[in-house]
Amino acid sequence: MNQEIISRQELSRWLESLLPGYTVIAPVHREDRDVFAVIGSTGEVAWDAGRTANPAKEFFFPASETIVRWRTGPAGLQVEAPLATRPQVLFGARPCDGMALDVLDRLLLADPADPYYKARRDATTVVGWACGGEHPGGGPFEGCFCETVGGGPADRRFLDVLLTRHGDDYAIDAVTEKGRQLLSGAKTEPRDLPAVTPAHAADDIVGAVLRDRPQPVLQMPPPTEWRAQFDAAFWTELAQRCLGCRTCTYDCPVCYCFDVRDRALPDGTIERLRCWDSCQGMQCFAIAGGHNPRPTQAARQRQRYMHKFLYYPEREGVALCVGCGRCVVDCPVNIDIREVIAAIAAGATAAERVPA
Amino acid sequence: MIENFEPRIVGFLCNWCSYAGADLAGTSRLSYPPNIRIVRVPCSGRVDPLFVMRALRDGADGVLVLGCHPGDCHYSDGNYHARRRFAIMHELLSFVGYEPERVRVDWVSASEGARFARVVNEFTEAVRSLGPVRRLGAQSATAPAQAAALRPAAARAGETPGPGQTGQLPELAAKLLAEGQVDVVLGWEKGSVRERPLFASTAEQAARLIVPEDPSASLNLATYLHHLHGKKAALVVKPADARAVNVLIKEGQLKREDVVLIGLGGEGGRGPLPASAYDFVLGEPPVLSDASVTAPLLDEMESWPVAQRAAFWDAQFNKCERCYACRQACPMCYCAECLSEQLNPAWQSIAIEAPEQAFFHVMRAFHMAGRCTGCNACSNACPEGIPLYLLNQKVAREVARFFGPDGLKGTGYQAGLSADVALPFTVFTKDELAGGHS
Repeated sequence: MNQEIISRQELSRWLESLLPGYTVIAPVHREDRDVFAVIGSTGEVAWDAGRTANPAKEFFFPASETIVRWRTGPAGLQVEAPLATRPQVLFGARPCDGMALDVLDRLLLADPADPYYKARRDATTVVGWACGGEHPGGGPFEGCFCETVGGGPADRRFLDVLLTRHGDDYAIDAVTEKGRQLLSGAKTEPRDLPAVTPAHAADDIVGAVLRDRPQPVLQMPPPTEWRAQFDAAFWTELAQRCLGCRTCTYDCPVCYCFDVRDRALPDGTIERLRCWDSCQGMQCFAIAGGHNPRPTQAARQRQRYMHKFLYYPEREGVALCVGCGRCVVDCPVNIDIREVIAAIAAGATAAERVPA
Repeated sequence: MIENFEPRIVGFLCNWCSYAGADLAGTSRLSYPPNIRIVRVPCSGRVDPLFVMRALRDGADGVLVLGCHPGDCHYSDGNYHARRRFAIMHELLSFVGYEPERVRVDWVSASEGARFARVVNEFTEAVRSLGPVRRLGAQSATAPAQAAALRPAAARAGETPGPGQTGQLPELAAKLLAEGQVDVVLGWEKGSVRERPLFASTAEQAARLIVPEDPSASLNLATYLHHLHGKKAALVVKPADARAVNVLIKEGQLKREDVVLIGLGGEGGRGPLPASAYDFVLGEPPVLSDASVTAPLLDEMESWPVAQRAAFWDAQFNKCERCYACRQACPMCYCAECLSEQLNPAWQSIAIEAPEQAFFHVMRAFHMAGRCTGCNACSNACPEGIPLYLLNQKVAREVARFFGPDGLKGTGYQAGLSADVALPFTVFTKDELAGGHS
């Protein structure tokens, strides 16, 4: 049986044909990095892009969003809830970017669903790129560790279409019905690729990445082990160098904390905004009266990892982490989530417990 | 110019002179444009440049600050302080893309009703001819593809400390710890993806200490001094970091005897600082160089038209997510509550959008006046590569243009050359900056 493939040229042409009907988000090259951005033409697509500097989160859950705005005018009170969605295609998502959506779906689509996230999620078709391969931008990337949290470089489960680069062509795996429909206008052709079985083309093409990894894959300790290490002195040591900035959480594809506040605009309009918040900010947990239940950076650092590897797995069944490695490379003081996982796995700090 | 454009002007008027002057203009039946909305303040010294920035952000087309004539302040010296602050703020606003004519600081006494009317007339016409204020950050421009050119000059030159130093540091640190001179040595170690700060409190940890490959691209460990809770620390510093420690001492944040400074050889930040400023110096003594602020891009930007600078900063502020890495990495940003996150009053919205980022960065740069020592930790910490050092160097350059080495009238002030020199915003000279600043 032959594998369905599409040439770069045809893929680009197909993407161009989607532009009138869809908001297309794709990796583009900006300054010295690759980022996900809304494109106006396929000429902007960075075909050799590596992992994007920003996760795709902002296209489902924007950094700032107006939930409702109101003003009083001659016609009385005018209220407007400006949620408007347009069909969108997320192109060039990595398997971990797809997995991030699944991780968020478990919380944000559960009853009661978050209407803002849901509207954009429903309107989106995700076309992914498998990681690995010889081409530039193939990956794996510095700091990434998706296998540790149950993903993989050719993980098709959370994508609508998985494309695997093979020379200048792409092997197509239309995973979902939504993906198949989106692809209906694409000019593909069957081709016999040696050593590639159509049922798992991506695995055959990039699977070597997994097999050839030099070091053993980092093992995730079970939630119980995280709980056992709650009072370890390790957290205080780790937090010493933490600056308390928000980079790790804003660059995380699954950190979803937000704050809701009103603001008055100069023209008299009042807006209710929902904006990203971060557990690493000093004031994140402060409550009325000035009490802060997590007053130290050690407590806030611990919260970040406990949320990811203890609380979320207990509630939602998966880690709140997809192993993309963005926080690893972006942290100005090189706090490395892989080292945290390894430290808990090793239980090395068990002897150094400090009282709560 | 937009036809029928009526500028919105906010006037901050001192209660004792200028507000009375406005009153006299009214009772004398002198006419002046109704565009001005007056906010009465106790003294021009009460007008935080933050108020001006906020007025501009919220759509004021011009801001007028009026106080008593120098020498006539009812609190004796409030207006001298205001004059200093606005001399710097004015240049900063122009640097980020506001036409300088949108802000005017002037003096009107209680007997000068006619002068008040004239100043308001002149100012209103000046602002009218500029047209409506542009919202800083509102233009969603894309940054030019020249990221490398945005980095501080020193980082590009890749200055490295002299040879043969790496061996000495672990030994020295172990000795300081063993002798009980310090509780912790703050230095650098090899990390998983980059060099990272190390808090060494045992000989074993001290053995991991390294000299950073490019100190000018590193952070400033002095930022951790605020979190040591009485522990005595040794600090591995480049010249700019040691100068930051001097500023902190001057600001009463720590005592010189609480900290042991281990100076890196080479320049690694703009100097100069004599070897005697450190307790230990690794390798060759720090290079003493011409201390002038060198930033080729800054020179170039100063010659740009104001609109070009506005477009440049719009692109930069559009990249910002207000993660606050710059602020957290800065040893000078030690406020318990940042104005950017203050709830009451809330100067800023939590919105993560470019006009709010612009507001934050401009105010932070202003707060660096006379304090920033050019360590570039903010730029080096920024995950988006925003050249924040340009804002700080611009402010430092203006501080050096207006204030002397002792902080008084003159030129050439540089922050942190010693812990004894006055901070420029805490002192003034009566006969400086003559004629107001507009």
